[in-house]
Amino acid sequence: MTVLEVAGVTRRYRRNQPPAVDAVSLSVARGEILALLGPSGSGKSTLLRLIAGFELPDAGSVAINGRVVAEPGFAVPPERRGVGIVFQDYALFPHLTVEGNVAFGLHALDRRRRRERVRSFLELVGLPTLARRYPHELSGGQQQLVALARALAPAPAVLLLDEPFSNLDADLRGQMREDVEKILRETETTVIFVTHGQDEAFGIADRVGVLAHGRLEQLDTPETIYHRPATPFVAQFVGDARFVPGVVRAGGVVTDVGTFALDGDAPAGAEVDVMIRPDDVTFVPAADGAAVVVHRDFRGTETLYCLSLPGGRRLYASQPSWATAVVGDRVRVEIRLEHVVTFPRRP
Amino acid sequence: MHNSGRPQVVAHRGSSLVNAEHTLGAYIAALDEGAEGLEADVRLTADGHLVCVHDRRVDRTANASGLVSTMELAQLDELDFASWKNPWAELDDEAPEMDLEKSKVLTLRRLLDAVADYERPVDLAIETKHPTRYAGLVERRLVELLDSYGWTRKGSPARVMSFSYRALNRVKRLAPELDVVMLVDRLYAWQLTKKLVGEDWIAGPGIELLRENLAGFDRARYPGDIGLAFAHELPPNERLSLLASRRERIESELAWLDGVLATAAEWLLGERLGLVLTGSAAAVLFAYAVRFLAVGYQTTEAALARIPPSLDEAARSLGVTMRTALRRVHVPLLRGGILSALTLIWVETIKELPATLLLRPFGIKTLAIEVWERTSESLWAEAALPALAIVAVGLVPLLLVTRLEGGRR
Repeated sequence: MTVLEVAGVTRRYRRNQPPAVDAVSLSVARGEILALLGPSGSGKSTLLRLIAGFELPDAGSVAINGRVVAEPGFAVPPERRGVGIVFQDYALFPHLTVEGNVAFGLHALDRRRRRERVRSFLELVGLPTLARRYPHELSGGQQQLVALARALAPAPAVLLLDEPFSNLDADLRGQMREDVEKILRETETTVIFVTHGQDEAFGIADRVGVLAHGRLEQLDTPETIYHRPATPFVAQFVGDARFVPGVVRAGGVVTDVGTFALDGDAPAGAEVDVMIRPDDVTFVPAADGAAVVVHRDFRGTETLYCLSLPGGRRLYASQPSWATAVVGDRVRVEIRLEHVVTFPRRP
Repeated sequence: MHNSGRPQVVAHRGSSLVNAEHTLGAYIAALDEGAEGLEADVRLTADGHLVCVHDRRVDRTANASGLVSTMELAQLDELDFASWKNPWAELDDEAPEMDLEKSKVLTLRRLLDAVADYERPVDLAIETKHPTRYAGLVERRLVELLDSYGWTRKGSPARVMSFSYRALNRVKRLAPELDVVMLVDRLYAWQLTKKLVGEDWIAGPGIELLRENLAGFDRARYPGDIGLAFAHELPPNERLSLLASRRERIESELAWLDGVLATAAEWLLGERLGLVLTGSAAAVLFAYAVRFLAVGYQTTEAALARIPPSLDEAARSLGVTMRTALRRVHVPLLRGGILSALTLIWVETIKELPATLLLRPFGIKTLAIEVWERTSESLWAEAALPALAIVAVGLVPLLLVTRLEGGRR
């Protein structure tokens, strides 16, 4: 069942400039977690603000539970949309206790039921003992959880999370991601969250929407996004893809690093770019190898090598960190593609 | 106008056209020429004597330089106040004869003696000069001196003149029966001073002012070389007056605006509006607002800057309207800032002096004005109470705010 329907929404801050959000359409089902992934300036935060009602669309419409809340010339104010938000800086009210913050959106309830609901949501986020504390007495992770409890308490139709983990330390981030996902699944909340980290997007979301220059490039499951990117941008943004030119023949795509079986139906003779990711590429040291290691980037769990092929083409290969090759070594390259992804050759 | 119905002839600074002004010689000459009154400007010396000197300094009229107010009578007594008038007297056969007694500095006491001893009654118009460092002491000494001649009661030959409303007010307080003349040298709205000046006060417009502003003014009847014409009991709409000339320009402009407003109201509504700006607290409140706006603005602005916009949005996403968010989020967060701004402005306002002095409605005094008036009359003991009251009144909200804010931490 669709909870949120965004249809052709465009938001242009300034005339004569490309829109911040450009004809974006998407729908989110009840209980679904959708991640909006994109580099900074891709329009993902603007899209979030359009849904929340802090921005108004120049074209298109936003509907929540079948009711249009925004279209040109009409807008339901944010306070009447039933949209909860967890802000990047948490935006806890500094003059209110944890309890007061969580109770803030429960003004419609009587005192007794409000108190009960506050308690149950503080238990949900695991902070029942901190009810009397003020925000400045909490750690970053605790503030995050209070903000989450506060946004969830009024039972919003949609919960929006803006870069929810970006303000947390790296060691806390993994744990918080798990905790937050658990809470969201438990409450069966419909969620859209914005991030520029693909780990976060892939780890939590049911579906991921990739945004670039205000356009929704692709909206699909994390696996499909990764393995079957719809556009070269998605391929590059998600997983450091490189492209090797090739020509479609009867036996597959012929490139100068090998021939790959094609499972699509491209016309023979078509010129294409074949997507190759570092984890598709392996190599073995070989004195007669055609490639040379030109750069080595140790990353801990893996090492990223830059290889120079005959003719000057460069490929990246990620290897387990125990593999030891040094700059200048001659290697033989092997490319193994599970899914061969091609894009029409860019001019 | 003299009681006889014709102008009174008053010798300005003595017979000062030919003789050196403010010398005994000049005054005796004036009396001998038939003057019915003598005019003299008085100043106080460092040792408390009233002397007849017009300028603040002796430089123009004596053969020395210095401030009257810092010199003692003995010092002044050694100076020659007459030679400047006729520098070539020794070569000039027609020059008045120089008499040492008649060319020295003239004390007011000596002038009073001369008037008292003269064979016919002579009026005496004494002008006190302000501002001066001795402020109210001048009038006190003057009244004491006049009193010793029995000249502070009705029928006294002496009257006191000044451009300073406050100076005349003092005289009236010390000697209610003495005539006082409010001198006027500029045309301000009559309405301004109508309320200020006592009913029995005499208005003294300068001759220039009379010439310029009184319709039907008869030049022939008021020859200019008398100097000043003192018009008794001119009809109110012709009576000119001024607020002390030291009051600043802004007041005359407000008065002008008031005039425009009153005229417009009368014309449009057929109602008499009165003095909306200068006659009410509006002007002074406006001045306070302008003067202390920055204080309040800066303090509140600093508090406001500490509230990130995401708090507004968080509140609204929690189902709260903008107005409610203002009440539940902004007001509590700004409270400290607003309270401290109010306290600051309160303290500044109760001790504010210049704008209050210029713009207050007539008859309204603030504590600061009380203190200022009393200290300017050297009434230190009497100034203490309002001064302490200022401290107390300023302290109360400060303590309240401190306690309120302290309790919240």
